[in-house]
Amino acid sequence: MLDRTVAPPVQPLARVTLPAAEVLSLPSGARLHVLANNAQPVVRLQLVFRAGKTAEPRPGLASLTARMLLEGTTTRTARQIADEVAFYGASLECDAGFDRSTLTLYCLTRHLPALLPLVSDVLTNPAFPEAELEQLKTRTIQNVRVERQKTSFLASERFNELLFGSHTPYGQPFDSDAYQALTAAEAQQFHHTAYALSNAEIFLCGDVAAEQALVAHAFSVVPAGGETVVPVPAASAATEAETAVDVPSNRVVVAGSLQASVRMGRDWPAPTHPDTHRLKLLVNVFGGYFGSRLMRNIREDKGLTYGIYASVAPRERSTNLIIGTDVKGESADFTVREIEMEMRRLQEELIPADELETVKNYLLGKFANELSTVFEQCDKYKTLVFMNLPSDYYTEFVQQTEAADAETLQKLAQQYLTPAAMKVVIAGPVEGPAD
Amino acid sequence: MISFQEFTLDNGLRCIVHEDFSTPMAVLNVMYDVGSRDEDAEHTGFAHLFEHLMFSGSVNIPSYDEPLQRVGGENNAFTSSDVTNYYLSLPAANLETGFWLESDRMLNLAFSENGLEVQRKVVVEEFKQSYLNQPYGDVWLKLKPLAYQTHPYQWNTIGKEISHIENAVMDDVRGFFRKHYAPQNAILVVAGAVSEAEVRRLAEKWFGPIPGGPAYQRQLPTEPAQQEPRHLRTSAPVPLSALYKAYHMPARSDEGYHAVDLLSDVLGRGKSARLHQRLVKELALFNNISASLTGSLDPGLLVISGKLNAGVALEAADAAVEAIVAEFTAQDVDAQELEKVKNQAESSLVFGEIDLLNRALNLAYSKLQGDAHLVNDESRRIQAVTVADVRTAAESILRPENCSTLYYEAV
Repeated sequence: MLDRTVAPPVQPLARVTLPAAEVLSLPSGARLHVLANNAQPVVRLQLVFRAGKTAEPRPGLASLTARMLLEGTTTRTARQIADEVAFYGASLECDAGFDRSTLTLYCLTRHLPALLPLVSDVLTNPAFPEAELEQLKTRTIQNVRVERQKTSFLASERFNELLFGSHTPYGQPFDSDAYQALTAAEAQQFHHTAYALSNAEIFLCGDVAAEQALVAHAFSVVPAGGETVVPVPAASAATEAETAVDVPSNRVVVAGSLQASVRMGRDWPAPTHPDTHRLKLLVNVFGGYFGSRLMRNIREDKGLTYGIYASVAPRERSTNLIIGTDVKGESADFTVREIEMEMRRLQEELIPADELETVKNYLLGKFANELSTVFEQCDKYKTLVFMNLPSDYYTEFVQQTEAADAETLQKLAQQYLTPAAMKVVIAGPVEGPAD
Repeated sequence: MISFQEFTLDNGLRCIVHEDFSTPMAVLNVMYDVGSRDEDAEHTGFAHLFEHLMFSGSVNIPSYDEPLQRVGGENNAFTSSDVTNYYLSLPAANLETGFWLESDRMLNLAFSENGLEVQRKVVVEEFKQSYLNQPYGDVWLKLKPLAYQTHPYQWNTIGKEISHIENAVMDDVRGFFRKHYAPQNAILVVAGAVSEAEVRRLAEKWFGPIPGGPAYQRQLPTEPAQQEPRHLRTSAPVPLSALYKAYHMPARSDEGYHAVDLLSDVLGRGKSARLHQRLVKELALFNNISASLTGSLDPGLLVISGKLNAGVALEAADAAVEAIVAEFTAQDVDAQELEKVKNQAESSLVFGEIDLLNRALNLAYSKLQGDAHLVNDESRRIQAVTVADVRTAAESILRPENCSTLYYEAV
């Protein structure tokens, strides 16, 4: 007779590792990183430049420049670019993040040779046509207006301001007037300096064994006219000392809102820190998965939210902890107190052995699952490259996660998970007492 | 091409195995043949609320999530108007834990009063987070009842209103479980580093003993053909006015479905599509505009949706959209334009097969439509569409009297 009350025995998890990438230095100075995997006849090609917010001379210029690459070259109109990409069933986008900008092509492997000249063209010969620039600015400003209707957006924006400072690349809110004032000449100039092929990190992954040489060739030669390579600015801190004058309020009042968005967090040790893997484990116990302390308390016990999460956001110049949830409108302050209570529990009590075992296995299984596709493998590999991590980083993650003990995690909680160190932002319907 | 084997247990559970030993993982997908279309008009949102309750403990296992996490697995579920789908991924060595968990909640639930009370609150917060507290979040709550006046697609999966969720009682939960959650109403797909023989053994062991019964017989009212244009004007404190146009179209399994799919792509898939090129770029009437299908199992909708640039009147924007729509009935699409959207569709199919879970889901969905082999027939059906087919589809669908138009005005 089948006894359904007894779980099947737990089998040990097989060790998985990130496949090694092949790295080629191209004559242009660019590095080409290749992860070949022929499971599906597809390719992802990414060209990454130090052209994010941390590199922009004026607020918004990085984002505008990145998106203008697809809006016309010296020989192709925006329409022709869109048509060509679509005709091959491909996707081509360029976006700027905080630290880098990335031009990404997805396509079937068989179309890569036909698409490479287009990729090369948008990268090296963007024309920044005025009409497209004005339309793009208008659309972007309108889209931000829509986003600012959302308590979740407002809370995140204010949180970054409080954590990093309003005038830093990581903390600066979107400024419509500044964006509207940007010119094609500025974008052209930023492109000329920040998109130098000699500084590019190129990532090619998928079914690419036969196409690797083509890609290497396409990005080997610095375009005629040469490049102005600007020295990379020193990695100054992305945060600034705040003066009492410009500290924004931690309350954003949205009259009539049905929910309040809560964002809490603080600066956090970078991935290069010796405790990084144990801290990841601790944050997962706290709020990193469906069975986490926060989820069980705020959702599964009290029913105040659809979800609540804590995670670590690593950036090249600063890493932070972020706790986020959208809760029933009048429950925001109560939720903050409960979150703080869960921090103190982790400081005061050892994590029970059962729970720790569960979170370790969950994390290790999730890691194996995240290596399932070559695109995900490449994303993990990119983290190594951009965060300056050693090649055995993920091996260390597996080993240190397995070996972590409750006493060490408690000490880390006492050191880092301290309620008093947290910035708290609430965007919602009622004005509460400011902290 | 997705390879698979299939078998059916004596209790009616349809099982499909897709072996892929290139990964150390396995996925287990259970699709129940029940969605919000099967709900009572006075108890909408129930299929989805029930999905939440499936995680509140089963008859022999108090917690669903914890034992799965303990073996390195993770899971989730979704409810649509057509189906309720539960899926988990875990290291293949621990596949049996997935069978243990999924079979127990198909066998019976714990029916915890506390679980129901908490999940009612959680779903109410989900309703607010996804629909009521978002700019434009209530669009579908308004558009669906305009387009569907008889068929249950008139309400959304989240429900018509919050009170339907707040008023759900345990008797409803038990009745819903008895009616829909049985092996003969479900499809099990196991994929990844698993052998067909092992899956068969585990399926017999864990799901085999669950009693079967007569399958649920769906008898839903048919939506009568729309006879005249419908209009609704609403307003909300949003920055940009928005326009939505929904045209009735054939069901997912209909012969003509793929022609409409490609027609929709020519109209509004991405930046090279006609709507974007003409209305965002050339005339600058819209901030963005696109077209898509609901893709439902019963006859669905082709929906054009766009946000207007500030200062543009809804009537002018609507007229401009209708002028483009009219081109499709006045003349054939270009052969090259059709080839383009076929290439896009082909690409989507190939990229859709990268993810193991997605392959499992597509197998289950094809089986639900009657034949798992449909999963490998999509490409042929797309390629078979001709310029004349697209014209025919446009003539039958893109008619003003077949359209429901929603003006969502910024105030």
